[in-house]
Amino acid sequence: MEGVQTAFSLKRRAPTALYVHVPFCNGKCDYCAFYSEGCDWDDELQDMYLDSVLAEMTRHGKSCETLDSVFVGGGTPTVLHDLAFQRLLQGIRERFDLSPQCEWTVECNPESLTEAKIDMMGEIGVTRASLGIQSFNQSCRKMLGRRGTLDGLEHKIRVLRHAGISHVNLDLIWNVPTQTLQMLEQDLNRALDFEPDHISAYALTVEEGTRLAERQIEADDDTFVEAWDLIEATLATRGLHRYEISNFATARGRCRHNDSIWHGAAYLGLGPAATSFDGVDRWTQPANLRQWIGGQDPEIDRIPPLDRAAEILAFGLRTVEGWNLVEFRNLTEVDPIQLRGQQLQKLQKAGLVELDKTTCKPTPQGLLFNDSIMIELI
Amino acid sequence: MNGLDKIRNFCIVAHVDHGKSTLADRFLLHTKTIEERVFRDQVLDAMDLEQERGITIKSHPVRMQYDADNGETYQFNLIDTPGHVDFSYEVSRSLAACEGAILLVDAAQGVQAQTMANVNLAINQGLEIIPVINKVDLPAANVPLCLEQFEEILAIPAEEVLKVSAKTGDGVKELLEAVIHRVPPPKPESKILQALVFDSIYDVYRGVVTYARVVNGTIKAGEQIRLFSTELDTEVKEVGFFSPTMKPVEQLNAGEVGYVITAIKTPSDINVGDTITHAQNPCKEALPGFQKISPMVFSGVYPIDTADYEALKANIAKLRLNDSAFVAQPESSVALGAGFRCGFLGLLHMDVVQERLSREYNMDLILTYPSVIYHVYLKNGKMQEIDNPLYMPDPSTIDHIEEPMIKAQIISPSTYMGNIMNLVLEKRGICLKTENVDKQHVLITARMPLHEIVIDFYDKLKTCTRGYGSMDYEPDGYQTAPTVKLEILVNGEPVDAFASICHADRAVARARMICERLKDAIPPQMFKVAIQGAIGGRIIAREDVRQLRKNVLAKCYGGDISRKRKLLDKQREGKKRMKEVGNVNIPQEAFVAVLRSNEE
Repeated sequence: MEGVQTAFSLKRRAPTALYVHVPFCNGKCDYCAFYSEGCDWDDELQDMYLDSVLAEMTRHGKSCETLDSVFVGGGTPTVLHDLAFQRLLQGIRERFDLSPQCEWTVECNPESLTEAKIDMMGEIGVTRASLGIQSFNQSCRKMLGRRGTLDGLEHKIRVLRHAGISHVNLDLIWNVPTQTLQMLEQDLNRALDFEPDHISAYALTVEEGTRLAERQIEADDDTFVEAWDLIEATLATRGLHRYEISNFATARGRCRHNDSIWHGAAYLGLGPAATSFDGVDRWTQPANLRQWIGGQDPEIDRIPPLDRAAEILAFGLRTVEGWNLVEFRNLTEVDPIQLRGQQLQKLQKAGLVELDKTTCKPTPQGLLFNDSIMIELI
Repeated sequence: MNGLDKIRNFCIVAHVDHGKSTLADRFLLHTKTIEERVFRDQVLDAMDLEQERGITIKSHPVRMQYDADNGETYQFNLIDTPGHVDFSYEVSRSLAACEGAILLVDAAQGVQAQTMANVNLAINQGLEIIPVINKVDLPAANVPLCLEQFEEILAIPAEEVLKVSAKTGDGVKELLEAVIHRVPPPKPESKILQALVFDSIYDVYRGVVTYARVVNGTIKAGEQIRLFSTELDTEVKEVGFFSPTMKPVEQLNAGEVGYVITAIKTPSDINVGDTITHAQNPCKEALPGFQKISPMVFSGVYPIDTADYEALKANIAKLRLNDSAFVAQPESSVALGAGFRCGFLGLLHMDVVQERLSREYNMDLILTYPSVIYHVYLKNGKMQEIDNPLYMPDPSTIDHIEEPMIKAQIISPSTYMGNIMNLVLEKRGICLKTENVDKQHVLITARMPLHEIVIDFYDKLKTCTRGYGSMDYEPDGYQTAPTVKLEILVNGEPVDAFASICHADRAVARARMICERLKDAIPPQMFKVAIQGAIGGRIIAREDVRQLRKNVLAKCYGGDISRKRKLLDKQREGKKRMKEVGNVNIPQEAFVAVLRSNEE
């Protein structure tokens, strides 16, 4: 690595973002590769989980900086019984120092999102709800093996807003086999009717170990690019702009939690299968509730500091804004051009990356071919 | 030592698999040169590959003491000859070291093209021929048919033919007696040393061990000798013979066959066919028939993993120690990296070298499209010899090109004559002559371009004669042919590894074949990428690489990064083995797919 000292080291940083993984669902959806216990749980198991996760919070709370964001995901956090749900949110509030502007997201399944839970969220200080819609179209939902119904969604969103949870994200999945561009457009418009300030629109990825993979469903990429453009254009009409490959938001609706993580922030992950990053190493808790409760060691991902720096650089390029070069240097203490100048120039020539004196960001094509950027940089 | 009249120098000529090595082994056992308990199948074939393929590449002279029926003890020197077309010069030198030749024919297979070629060589050398039918014990043996073939095509009377089974030993005693009676003893003509070099091997401890037949004079350790062709003087360290292992003696006398070890350490300093004489009192003329052997077929040899280059270099050097006909020059290709431009005597030689490299040395190799030596006549009246498409002059400067021709002799059951004639035509050849070998077999003499032989003629001959056809060939001058350099362009850039010299009429088909294969082998690309076949800038074939429309993972958050990176690592490992040409990553498999396969 010419020009970069070989004794280079990265600084460990205290987390400014917290992720809590809730490993319970009302059954697993066919596309989902996230870890959850499915429906094989009872209140007692939830309480055991709560005991452990609260103990973890106590253990780590002090070592965190003031948090800029909290993300409670899963699984389905809203399937926790009311008391457990409250203990979880209360625990976070009490054991961590949350900044006044702290963004606090809870992933919600519309079906299990009760008004009681909404009230708790509002009272304790949750600012953002992320609702797993995936599709409004029945045949798409069936294809995806999506559980539950969307009955009363409109009402629940109104209650959320009433409770002071003003930021609402709707998760959609597209590129679903049998889904036409027209069906996609209908999904997008239905979603926009709820006036969310954020939409995550994920192209279906059939991941190993999912039921979709078992069903040998394959995403058909024939209209991928057309759909990609359609989503961008449709959402833009309502002021939601792409700021990451699969994420669209109004100017103030971006998910700061994920945005900070794409830009190299240190984060603490609690719960089974949760990942943490301290600026140097990344580690992931066992994806098994009992093993996690039993205190089994996390799996550590440790790579040389320069490789880590390159990884941070690469992941920032998932976002439309990419990197401010000075910010990158401040974070990692390495100059991105010294680190990967040759590769960046090559990517620039290939039309995937825009590079000037102050910034480095993906071109629209660079978003569509983001893995090509990754391969070059990592 | 024996007097001259007690010496018999002879060899066995036979087609591959007709039992030459088994017969040689039987001789060794019969003369107690080797004992039964140390007997290993086919002792003379030292190399594993030879044993496996049943092809003898190197010849090893063995001395035997034979107690004849007449009560006398004879010195037999058996010179084992290579059994394939590519090595006919080496065969001819081995024959020149003999006074007689056992002509061995498989009772079940009859006379083959190879047999014909070697018999002709032996007759031309003035050797006494002892015709033998082997494997007479086989149920499929057809002795009468063989006898008919001997009479018909070789003009050998049936009553002269011996019948043996090398496997069981039947008739071997009679054959050994026949050697005494039919093969004449050596007849030196002068006291001045003349020894014929008919082979050499490289021994890690001893250096170059030269196999020689002392024609005139004597040679002993400590003498200064001279290699006639190169005028290289050196000192004799040791002389001796194989029986079957090395047995040093004080001197080798006129008429004897043995080995000579000198101070020479470089195998290429000793040429097969050269004459050894004394430095002090040299002979006036060399023994006849010396030729500097030169390769006829060329190909680029590259390691699939570029990191293996040093290993390839070392292994090629090792091979060359024992195979002076194999030449190699470092060469580098944009697409394939560092490798060697190698020259071979022929296709089999190329095959053998490739297989030895890949099997004995465990190397994964890729060979570029083989070329012959073209005579390129330029408009300025000059002629260039071109064996590598990279050096083909600009078409506008070329007046015409001549390609090397061969004369082939093909023997096959008559049933397949039509197939063979068609094949010869397809391969741009002409049938000169057809003769009957017997009632069921024909001998076809054809003139064909060497290049066609090198590509896939053998395979096709075998296919169209159900394995029964055999052939032999010899160079037969040059002939004008519309010859072009075919280039393959990827995204507008020529890929050197795919360039080839071929006949103009073949170019379009070949270009299409390569383009199609590449289209399938190159992964989809972000941009429209054309694969084109071109002759001097004129596009004659085109395919487009499938276009990749996106390459993106939809979901990637804090917990996904490690997993994603591992996935990318795998992808990149794959990419490392790709070569970038014209901004396109071509996987190694694409090169293999295109280069390893025959046409169609």
